[in-house]
Amino acid sequence: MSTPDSLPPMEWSVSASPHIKDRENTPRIMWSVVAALAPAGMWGLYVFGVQALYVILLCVISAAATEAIIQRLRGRPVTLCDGSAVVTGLLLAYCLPSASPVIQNGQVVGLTWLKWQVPVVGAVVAIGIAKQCFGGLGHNIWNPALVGRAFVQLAYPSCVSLSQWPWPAGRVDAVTKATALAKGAPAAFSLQDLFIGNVPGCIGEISALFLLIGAAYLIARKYVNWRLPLGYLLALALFATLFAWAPRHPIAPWVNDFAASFVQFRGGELPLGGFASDWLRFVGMQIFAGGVILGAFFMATDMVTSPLTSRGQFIYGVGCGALTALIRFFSSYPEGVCYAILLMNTIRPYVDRWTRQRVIGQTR
Amino acid sequence: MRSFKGGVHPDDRKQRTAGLALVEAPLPARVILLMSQHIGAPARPVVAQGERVLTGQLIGEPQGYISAPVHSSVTGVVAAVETWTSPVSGTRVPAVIIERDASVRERWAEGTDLPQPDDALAPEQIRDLIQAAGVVGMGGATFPTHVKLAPPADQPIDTVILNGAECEPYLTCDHRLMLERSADILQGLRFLLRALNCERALIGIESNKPDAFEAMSRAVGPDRRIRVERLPAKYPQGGEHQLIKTLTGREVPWRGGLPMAVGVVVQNVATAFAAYEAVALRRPLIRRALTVTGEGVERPGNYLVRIGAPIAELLASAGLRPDAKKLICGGPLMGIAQRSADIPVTKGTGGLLALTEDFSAEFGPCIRCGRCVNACPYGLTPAEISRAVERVNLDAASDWNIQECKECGCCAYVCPAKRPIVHQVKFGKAQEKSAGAKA
Amino acid sequence: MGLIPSALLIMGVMGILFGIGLAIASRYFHIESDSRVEQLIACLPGANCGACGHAGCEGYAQAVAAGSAAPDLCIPGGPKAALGLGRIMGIEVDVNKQPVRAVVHCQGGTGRCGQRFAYHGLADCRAANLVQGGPKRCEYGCLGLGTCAAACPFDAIVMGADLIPVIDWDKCTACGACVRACPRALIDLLPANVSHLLACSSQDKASVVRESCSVGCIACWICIKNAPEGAIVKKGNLAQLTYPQGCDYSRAAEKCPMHCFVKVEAAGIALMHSPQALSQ
Repeated sequence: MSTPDSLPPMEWSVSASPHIKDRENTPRIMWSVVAALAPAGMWGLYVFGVQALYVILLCVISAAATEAIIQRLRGRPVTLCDGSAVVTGLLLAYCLPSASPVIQNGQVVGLTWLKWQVPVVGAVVAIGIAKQCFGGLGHNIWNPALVGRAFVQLAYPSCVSLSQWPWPAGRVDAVTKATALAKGAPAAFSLQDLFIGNVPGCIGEISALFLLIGAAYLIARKYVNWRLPLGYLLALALFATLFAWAPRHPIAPWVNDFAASFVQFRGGELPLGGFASDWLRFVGMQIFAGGVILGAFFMATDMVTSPLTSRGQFIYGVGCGALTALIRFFSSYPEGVCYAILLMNTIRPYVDRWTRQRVIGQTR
Repeated sequence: MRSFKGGVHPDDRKQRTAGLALVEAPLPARVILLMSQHIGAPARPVVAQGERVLTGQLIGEPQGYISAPVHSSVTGVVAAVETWTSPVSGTRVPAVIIERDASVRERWAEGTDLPQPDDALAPEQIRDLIQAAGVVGMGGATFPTHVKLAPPADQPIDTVILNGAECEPYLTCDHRLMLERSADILQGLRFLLRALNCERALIGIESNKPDAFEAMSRAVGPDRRIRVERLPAKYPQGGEHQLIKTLTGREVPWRGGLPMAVGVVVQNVATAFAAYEAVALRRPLIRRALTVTGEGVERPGNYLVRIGAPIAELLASAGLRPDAKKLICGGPLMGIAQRSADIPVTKGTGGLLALTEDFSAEFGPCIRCGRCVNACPYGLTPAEISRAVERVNLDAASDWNIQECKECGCCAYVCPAKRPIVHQVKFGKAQEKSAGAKA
Repeated sequence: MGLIPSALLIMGVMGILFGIGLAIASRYFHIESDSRVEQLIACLPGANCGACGHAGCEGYAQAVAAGSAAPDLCIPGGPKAALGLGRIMGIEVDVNKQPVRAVVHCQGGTGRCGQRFAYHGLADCRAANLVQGGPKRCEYGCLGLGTCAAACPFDAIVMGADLIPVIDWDKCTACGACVRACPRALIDLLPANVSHLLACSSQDKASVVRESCSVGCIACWICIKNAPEGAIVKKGNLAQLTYPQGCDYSRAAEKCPMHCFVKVEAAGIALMHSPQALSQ
């Protein structure tokens, strides 16, 4: 055997263990979310056209620019490549309308481009205030996209909470309609239309089908824990059912239909079949109309602002679902996803605390 | 078989050496015998410079009960009694350096190397022989074995678990030992059983080593006390807590509880082999099985090497490649990265890895993905511990049970932000210790 | 009733009710507190540096009020704080103690003392020190990751270009936060009137020092021969300055073959005679 001197002197790399690591990394996760969001975005572009592209681009570019500028100002490395700002920009765009209706004498006479301030201010607030002010990626308390969305909701109510929304089929003819959740909206939307996305609404929210395709990918890659959306949808169905016949102000006719059918069912006047199908339609409307699918699979599951354990994720999902139902039925606002998730974001640390894992060998 | 919760499945990379038989490495020209190759008080050198020593001769005397003696692993002359870099701490510790006398045939010290018939030794005699031979836990923890063989009277041992999991990637020396020395390991296990007055033993072997399972099952023969069990291949299956949980369903109590508390003693197969050599052959622990491997060596292999052999020699003969970036004593998940190859083999060195890929990159902020929480085999929340240490918030870190972490590295392995969570845990524990010392 | 009168009425009634509530609460839930604590806190600088050995300024004030701590322990506050505390407590305070300042006993920055391995891990000296005894060639030398600078509550420490901390003596209050932060105990508090310090802490043998650092003490003891009797003593393999009254170390500093002595300017930055450190 040779002597130690035969070994060339080298400067070894030294670190604490472990010395091998999984290939998974943060950018890969973020860009996978972007990829998973793509189908729904494509559908949005297909049905809403170039106006939707304008909103998406404005959101993504302003989000990325805000991130870069603030990181430069803070003297931190610019981490646009990790994709997290792009995800925020996309999510924000997905919950904005594609265009604004032009209204004359109470009549919609056309569609115009969304005010550029809406996506830009939304993205700046999302990245600048909700994310970077708290320390950047991983340190934010609330989902940045939802904070941005909530902000523009207050700042530009006439551009964001429309009473009349662009109608996919009529993108040329400037036809608009109230969304399915709106109070007093016509019960004109079939579940199939809602599932596929043939309804008026926000750019990325309308198509449950395409959102679910992306979500299935994220669940398969284990970037999304299926327990959270499951808890969300179960709780929403349960609480919406409970709230449906509580004393309330006038809401969408299909809710009233269901409540009426329930009352009749209790009175024994209807066969079970009629009630069950009414209930299914009611729950289907609750789940597929509005932002529930986007919220449950993409917003609430945001890693930074959701709990760490599976148990916590389920409980958190249940909380989101219950709050969504509560806001939908007992507030003046027809949609509750955004605020429900923001509220649950706020108590996320407590959920983590309550749902701690049991340490092996833990006694007590 | 129901396994423990958590764990990871890294590519095991054992193919390169799993088929290579154990080779007796050439005797080194010089050995460096560290006085602390075990957990506990370091041994005290009892030889002086210039003294002639025989193989197996006592050169370091244990200091206290939780300590172990050190024996010369060659026949030669004491060249120096000084200090040498320890592969465990990276700092200099007392050491005895012995030049081998190549002109004489190896001679064993008096009273050693005397093969004994397996007569009815009393438990205390077995314990004393193992203690005198300097046997320590050879899976890497290096806890003196005789201490584990003397449980307190109120904690009777009903099960001895022999750890043949070898869950660390790359390493195959235990695998080879089980294939080639199965009878000896079994003999060693029977000594351990007798020393503990215990009537049940379980041998846990990961399912990726079916040949070792076969060999050990054959070696057990009609002995009804001993059962060989196939374990799911998952890191850290060979961790004491995980092994006990998988094989017996019992959980070692937290906050410093020992396996004894649940009636179990866990020993590595290499320790059982050392016990066999100590009791049946009266040979002190002067050699061990070791895998030299990694993409950074041309000729990987499994060796029986003398304790104290210079690692640089082993690397040179294995053909160290110039693109090797990292040198590790032990496995890739819990092993210790070395700053220099100028270190000796110790009783706890089961592997010598030269890696060409360096994973220690820049790390980013925690995105709370929860992968570490799912991977942690101890039920901890590494993300919160890591964040707490980052803000040097020791109270938060201990609230998230930082002290329960055994630093297995599953969390840091899966972390997509590449956070050095194990380093943070080590740092947090050290800070807590120094804060405790001040208070 | 009009809107404004009714609003005024409601607010007024609420104000009266809350006022009564607070009055009752302050009467019945009153907690006796030592009024001197507030006065004591007012005399302290409020940096919560911990130099006094108590948990922040309030903790120290409570300890002083309780009589369990002397009034002259606040180092940043200096004589002014000590006199103030002494006056409140009615204790005589000696304010003529020699002021002290933090100094760094190492000048083996990059270029003088290299790395022995490529360290990857936490950017904290205390954490780096846990990995294979630290990446610095010298096992006693400054690790250069700036834990002392981060620990300084007065922003008195900046890391020089050679990654050795430079202490701004105008800002340093000798609170000792850096002394406690350094894992290698390289920072020490010296009286402000000393002329030199020995900027090395290595206990290594000369051969080891020469291999690792160009400005390390090699225990040649030339300095001892060039200094008054007892002004420099051997502490293992390192010279130690004892600073007897009025001692001059310039000759010893001049003769030191390794340039381990650093002249300390009366005020301003503790000058390391490294051009890099100066340029910082």
